[in-house]
Amino acid sequence: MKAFEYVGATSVDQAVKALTPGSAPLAGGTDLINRMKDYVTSPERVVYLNDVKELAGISGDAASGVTILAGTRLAEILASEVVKSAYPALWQTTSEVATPQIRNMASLGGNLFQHPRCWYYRSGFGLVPKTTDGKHMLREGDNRYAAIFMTDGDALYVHPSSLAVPLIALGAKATLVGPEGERTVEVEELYKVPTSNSESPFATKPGEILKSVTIPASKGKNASYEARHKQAHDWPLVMASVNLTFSGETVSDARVVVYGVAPVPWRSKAAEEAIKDKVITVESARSAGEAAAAGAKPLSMNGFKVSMLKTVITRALCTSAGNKYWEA
Amino acid sequence: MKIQMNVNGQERILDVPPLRRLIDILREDMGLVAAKIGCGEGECGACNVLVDGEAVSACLIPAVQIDGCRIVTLEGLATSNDDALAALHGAFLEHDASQCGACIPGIVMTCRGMFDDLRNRRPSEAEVRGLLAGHLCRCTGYEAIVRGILKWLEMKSEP
Amino acid sequence: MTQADRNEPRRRNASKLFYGTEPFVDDLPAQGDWHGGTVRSRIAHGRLIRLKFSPEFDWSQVVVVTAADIPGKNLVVCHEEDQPSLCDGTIRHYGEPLALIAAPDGELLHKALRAVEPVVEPLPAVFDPFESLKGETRIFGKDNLFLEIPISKGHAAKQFASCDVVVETNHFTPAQEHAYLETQGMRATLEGNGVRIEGSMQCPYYLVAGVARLLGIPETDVRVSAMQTGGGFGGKEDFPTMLAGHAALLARKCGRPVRMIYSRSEDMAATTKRHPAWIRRKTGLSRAGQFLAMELDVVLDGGAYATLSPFVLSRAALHAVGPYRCDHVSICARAVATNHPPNGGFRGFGCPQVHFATETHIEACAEKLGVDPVELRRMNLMKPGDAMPFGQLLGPGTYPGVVLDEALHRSRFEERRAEIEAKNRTSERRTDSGDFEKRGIGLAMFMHGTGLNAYWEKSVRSRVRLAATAEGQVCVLTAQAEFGQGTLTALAKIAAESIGLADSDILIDHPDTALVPDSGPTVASRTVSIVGSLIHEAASRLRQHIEERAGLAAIYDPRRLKAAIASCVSGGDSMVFEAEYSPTDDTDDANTWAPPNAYPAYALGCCVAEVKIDTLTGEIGVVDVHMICDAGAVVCHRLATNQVFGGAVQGIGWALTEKLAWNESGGMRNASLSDYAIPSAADVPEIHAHFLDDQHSERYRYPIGLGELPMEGPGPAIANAVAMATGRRPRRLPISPEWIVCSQGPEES
Repeated sequence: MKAFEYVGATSVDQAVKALTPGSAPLAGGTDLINRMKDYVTSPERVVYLNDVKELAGISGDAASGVTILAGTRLAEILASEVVKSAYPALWQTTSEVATPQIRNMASLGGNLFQHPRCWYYRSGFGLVPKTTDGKHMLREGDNRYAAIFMTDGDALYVHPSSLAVPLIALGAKATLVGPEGERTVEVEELYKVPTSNSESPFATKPGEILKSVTIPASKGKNASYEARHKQAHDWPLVMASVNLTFSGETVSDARVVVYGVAPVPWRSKAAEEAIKDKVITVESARSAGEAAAAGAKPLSMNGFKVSMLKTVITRALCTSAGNKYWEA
Repeated sequence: MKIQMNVNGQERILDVPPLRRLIDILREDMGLVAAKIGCGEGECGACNVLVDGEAVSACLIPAVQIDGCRIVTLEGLATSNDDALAALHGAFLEHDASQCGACIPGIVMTCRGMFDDLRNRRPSEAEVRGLLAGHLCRCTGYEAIVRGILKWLEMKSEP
Repeated sequence: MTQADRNEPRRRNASKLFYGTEPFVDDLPAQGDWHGGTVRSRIAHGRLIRLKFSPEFDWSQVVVVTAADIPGKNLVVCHEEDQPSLCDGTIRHYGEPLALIAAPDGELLHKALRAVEPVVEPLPAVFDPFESLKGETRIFGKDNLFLEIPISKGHAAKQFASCDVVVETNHFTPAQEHAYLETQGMRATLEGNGVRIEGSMQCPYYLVAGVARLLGIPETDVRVSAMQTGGGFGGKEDFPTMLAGHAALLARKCGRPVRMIYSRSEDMAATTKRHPAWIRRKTGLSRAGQFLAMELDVVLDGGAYATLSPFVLSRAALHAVGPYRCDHVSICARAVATNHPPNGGFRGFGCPQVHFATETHIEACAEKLGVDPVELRRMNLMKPGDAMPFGQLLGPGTYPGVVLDEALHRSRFEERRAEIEAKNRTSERRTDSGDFEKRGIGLAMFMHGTGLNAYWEKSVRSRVRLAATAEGQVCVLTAQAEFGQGTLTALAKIAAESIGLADSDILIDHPDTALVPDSGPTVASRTVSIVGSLIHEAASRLRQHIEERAGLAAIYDPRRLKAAIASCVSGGDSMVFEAEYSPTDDTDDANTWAPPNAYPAYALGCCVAEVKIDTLTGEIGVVDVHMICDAGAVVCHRLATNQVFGGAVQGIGWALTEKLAWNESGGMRNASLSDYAIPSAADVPEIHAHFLDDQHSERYRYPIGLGELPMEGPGPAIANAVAMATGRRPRRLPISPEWIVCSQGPEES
């Protein structure tokens, strides 16, 4: 890795001051250190956040909402009874991240701000990998794991954070701290789509770090369902998180978010519309999946994801409502 | 930077670059080579050691993160009259769980790290397979390792 | 008593492995070693104009070696003399070594490696072997053909006309990464006039020849010590010759020990893979199902240099028809040069590829005829005395049909198949888009000839030595390396039993060429079978000698024998016994690649696999695997059973999860263990292994090579199970969720 300056922060204030342009925050380190080792990322300064005591912990309850501080280890999220009982969408997804050893180290913030797994990016070609003659390497090359939405643009990788997906479905808000103080945004708003290699995939301002994520009170039902290639330690191929509120038996409000299909966590408004005012049955869930797939524009090798998309949405909806999708 | 840590019961103060990996500190600076480097990205578990009692991949841990921590490597466990380790040794020998041996020390550390939890839970074969998911082995097909662990837990739960 | 409960020795170094104290090369103390690294090409084909060394780096801190520094011949010694140790001006593949650098520490080495820029002139590259055969881009010889092996028996072409049914299918099997847990690593030290090599390897004497030739020094000045090696699977057969040469060149230039330890990504990007294979199979059958004529084309992508491709091709050609009888066969097997990094040896060595084609093709034949594929196999399986296409008669006691029956019985195949058929039909009632969960069960036969083929086994002239000590113990001296297969344990047991000593009185260690004779490479499942038989021969002579000298009766206790050996040695008797491989049959002398009596014996196997498929997400789970193996006498049941488990899981990975992707320059794109997914414990089911071991038959008196065999069954068995579950026949591996989900997926390659 390249030489860099090291700053150990012990308070949020210190961390924010140290995070000048060209700096990278370090928490669990599982993603950053590998990128630095392979020269994919070469920060001039690394700001260590783990000693910032005010950044770790989970507080709140299902009735008033839960706040998870950015430095909280994934293993701690799994150990939280309130997350397990009130936010199964988040708990389930967390339990499927990486391995037990990595979950002991990796933090919520690190997961939300991890960089894409895209082969071309990891080989040093950037998020919008193009050859010198302007050919898009992912569009023309091996794109079986790439996006199926927003493919008219140039960012074709898929967003790597699986935890962002249930958090967005649950309507979570992120609190950022920066030189200009604190601000709170929807988790969705943490991300943007770069149009060139010089742009960041994150919508944070210079010097800003994630302080916490707050999930609103749990009112309805939520669940996640993922399809993967390999059972253990692999990112999902496609995953859906859903959060439903009901009026009586019918869905009064729905949020449906999908992993693995776009360069951002993909909120499927079409699926949300389709399931609204419906009773959850396998048929209505399937219609929502079909609706979600309507706007997909897969690349040359990843048409299979369209079918997976329908399925994971169907199953996440059924699971959340307690319907067994596998039985008649 | 200067870091202080307890390695296998001994207090150590080291002056190391802040992002030097724990695995390099152990293997190169301290000569503790039981933990191996398999992949360098936390995928294979060959470098697992115990940090404050929990098994973690030493190839992903920068020096700054272990300042003030208690590190136990397999060398330390092996000289500490650890009954659970001795029992695991017996079970692994009986099932011939090590073939080339590159993955085994890391698996031993993970097993030891989860021992108290495992003993109370009496995991099924499928659960043991799940717990091993952070380890890669290319020789054994995991069968002998899984059987060895189940045997170990059986041995320990008898009075 | 189960097979594994027999009283047999534990793995010799099991405790040291458990505690992590059995040293691998990178575990050796630092001893002032410099770190060596490799400057590699990033293009597939072109000319190396020069290397540009950045003026911003202080080059006095490191040493650099280029082809100009090579004192001997710039060559990686193997069969063809086509591969330079360092680029000779023409780059032929991504990752090709251009220069070497050694530095006092790893951090500085990485800085130096990044401060070198190869100036190149790219040439058109070819990655498709069929394209390569057109010869527009020259890589090897006149026609880019490393080797062609034609095998012909009868008159296949004519015979097709009189067949009732003719079935033709195309198959593709992919490259596979060995993914041994210890990456390639080597340490070179200057010693006397020569060099000492310590490292991770399968074939110590290959390194002796390679380093001597590269440095231009006599072989007696090269000493090679194999360390505990963290997995090999064929990947440490030829490649360590190159790495040892590189470490030696650097050690010589900087005058210090140099250690070269590949990172995982370098190892995956630069070292060999299993040969991708394109196989066309055409079979003519009678209405009753008899195989009347066969035509087979086998094309292997050899990569940019020949390395072991001719040997892999030979084995693929010799096993192409599988354990089946057919009187009219025409085989054309070709290994072709492309601009991929060289492909090399990998457990199975050509057999997994051809067995995949054969065992999935047979199912297509059965479907066309409307017969049970199991019955079609049974009808055509060879029996002892039946001739193979190249002329060898199947040996006495070799009954593939018995292996098949045992597998059917142990897996309850027919019962399970009927249950699954019924269940798959009823699952249509399920509501989530209908029938999303399907199961399937499939089987596959496989076989593996023991040792190198007869011509090469003979030309190696393997020798083993036993030397008794003054304490009455016996040292077993062979060049066989230990990389997890249990070499040390199994060879010691053979010596102990043949001599009559206790296992603890046999001394055996990792091979050091200063001490051991050349007993040939640790490859081709030959360790226990071929080298073991030589140990048995030398041991029998030792025993006979001691019986004569000490006047002992034929049966006695090990302690008396030990005392007698001790007194013999103390009395000045040197007690050194050697044995050398000397086949009695001369018929194979002229035929390098398809000798008529290719292998002394064939190990047999049958795999039954059951899969569960989610047809909507494409997720495939292997839920049950039965491995029935017939490898003659099993020396150590526990170790052999574990070999079967490990081989089976490697086969499952090849079939399902190990998807190797190439970059634009023909190198491995997903060169990391997070992007190239080998199975974890959670991805595989409990595996059932069983050995045929009929104590009354002559076949089970001697061991037949087992190491590679178990890798060869799961691929086709899983493909056949998937075909039952989905109604579509996979013709390519790996079988991916993509293929399952896409109803219009590629059925044929």
